[in-house]
Amino acid sequence: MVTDRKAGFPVAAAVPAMRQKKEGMWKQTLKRLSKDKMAMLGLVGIVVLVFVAIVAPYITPYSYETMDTLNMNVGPSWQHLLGTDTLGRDYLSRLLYGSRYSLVLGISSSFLAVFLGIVIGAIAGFFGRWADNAIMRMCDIIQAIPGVMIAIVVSLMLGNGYWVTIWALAIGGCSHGIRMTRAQVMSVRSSEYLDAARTVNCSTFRIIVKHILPNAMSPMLLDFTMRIANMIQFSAGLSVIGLGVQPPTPEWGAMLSAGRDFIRSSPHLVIFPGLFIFAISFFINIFGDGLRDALDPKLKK
Amino acid sequence: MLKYILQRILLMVFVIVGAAFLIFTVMYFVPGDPAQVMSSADATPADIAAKRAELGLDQPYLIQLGRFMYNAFVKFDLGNSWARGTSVMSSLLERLPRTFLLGFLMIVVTVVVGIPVGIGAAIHRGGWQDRSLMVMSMVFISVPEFWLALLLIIAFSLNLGWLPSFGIESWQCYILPVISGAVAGIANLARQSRASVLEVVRADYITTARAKGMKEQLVIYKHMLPNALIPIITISGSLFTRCVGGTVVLEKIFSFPGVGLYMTDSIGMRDYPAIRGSVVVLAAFTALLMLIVDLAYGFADPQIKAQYADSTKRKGHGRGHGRGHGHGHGRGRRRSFGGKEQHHDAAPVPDEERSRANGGEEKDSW
Repeated sequence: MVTDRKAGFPVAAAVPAMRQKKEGMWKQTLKRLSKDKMAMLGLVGIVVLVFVAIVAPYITPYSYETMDTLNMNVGPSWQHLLGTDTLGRDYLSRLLYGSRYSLVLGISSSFLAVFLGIVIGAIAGFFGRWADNAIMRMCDIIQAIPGVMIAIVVSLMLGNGYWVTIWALAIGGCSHGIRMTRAQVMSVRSSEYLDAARTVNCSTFRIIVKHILPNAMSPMLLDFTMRIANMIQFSAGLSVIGLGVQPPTPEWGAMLSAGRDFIRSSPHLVIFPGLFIFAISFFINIFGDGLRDALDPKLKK
Repeated sequence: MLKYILQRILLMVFVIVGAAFLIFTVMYFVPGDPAQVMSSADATPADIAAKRAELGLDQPYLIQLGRFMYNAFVKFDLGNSWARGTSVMSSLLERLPRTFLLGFLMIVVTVVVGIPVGIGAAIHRGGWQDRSLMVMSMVFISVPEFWLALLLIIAFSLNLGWLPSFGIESWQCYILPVISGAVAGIANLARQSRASVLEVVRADYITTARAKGMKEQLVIYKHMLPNALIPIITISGSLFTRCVGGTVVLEKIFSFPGVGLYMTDSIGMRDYPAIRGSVVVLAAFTALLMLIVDLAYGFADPQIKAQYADSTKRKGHGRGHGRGHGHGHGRGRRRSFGGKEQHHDAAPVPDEERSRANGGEEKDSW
């Protein structure tokens, strides 16, 4: 966990004069990151996929809903580069459109998980006593239940669907963030600059947002990044067991789980969505790996 | 040591009871009336009310909760499945050994392959073996396990016809599920072991050991590995939880008749007692694995031992660094069983903190 107070803290409230003396932590991080070839490869991959998601309507050869009834369930050909699905819809178009759904799902559920973690963890760490105890025991319990199952139970409660899945994943994944934020808050709670902040009558909210959280930014950022890949994978896992995002939404996981029934006749329905999930996970993982080294150069030898 | 073990067991019981409570509460608030779902389409409101009374759904929340907890933890009865009409507990007890075996095999394969690969990579640090292993591990971490499972089925069952893709009739049926479940864990563990060994390699006591003229093999086995073990145990804990979660999806894909498949089948049928029961049982299974991990800590980490051997030092001063305990650790491990020898200099860490908050860098424990 990075507690680089000297470099980390002034980012939020930096005095211009100070910046000239010493580069900010984020600038240093970026510099280190740009030297890491693997991380840059990951970044390029992520940017390409995000770009594809944005311009999907302009580059897909067909609409994701158009059915080609003469070519149903066929493998890759020149007409349909990645084949068609069981309703004759062009698979490549669906996958490219799917990147919108999958990326938004990954990013927003990951963001929500981190956000919930920050809010609840800050409450636990800052107020201590019974709030802390209650929240931490809750985390103990939640961590004993595999996250897939929490997501299952939450999606049972909220029903299936796109945004519901995002919430289910976020709730299932927030306990890690809670622990992290809490530990971070505890570690700075008794530091002098917080005493100083209290002396000048800062409100609790302001102390948390302005003074505690900036210190916790780098592990949070890392957690957020790495989690996106996980979330996309978990949502696909949920689709496989009949929860989560369901067809006809062209989300990768939903497509993969729909293709599972036709694995014998047309394996391309399973192979390609998985390939896309794998690709985004791989890019995010190598980027995140580089980001970790860049944020905390002590770890890299 | 006994106190530590007892405390861990108590925590496990608390976690299991808490999980049962949490799951019951969440499922209680699931919208929709199960009685209506279960009744035929032409049922009158009176029929549905009778069904509700029969299922005990007309009772207030606290009474239902109390009844559920009493039945589950005193009578070990999880109720009857609504869809199947059979006892949930007996179905689960029949299936649990299979899931247990599957999870156990995954964990064994993960540990047996992952740790040596990581150590090997660390020893050949910077060489081609190391670099290729690390790139490969990144690839395997990113492969979604159900996709890998499906690819393996396509390759080995449908095209080559070597291995069965479903069932449990023979030992071959376990090969594909175990491989697809273990691969990501192996890659994860290998990376963590490598990082952990590399951290230890540069420690002063290793230099000292070498300076003494100790054989390289001895340095590795007596000084490096025992110290590198602790972070490895940390990540193993989260990997185990992941394995249990993974079996749910893998059982579905391989039609493996374990607890996970029972649960996913029940989800389709809105069979609440069955879903509840399987989640509670799987949570208990996970809690048991966590207990084993915690006990492994107790034996591997002299800080915990010392903390419980010397009762005046119970409360630590915040989170110290959990790694690199200083020279002599390897020997201390065996001799200080009675808690007389303490080689550490770091402040004892409150153990509940260390065991879970340590993993800021590990992959999430889903």
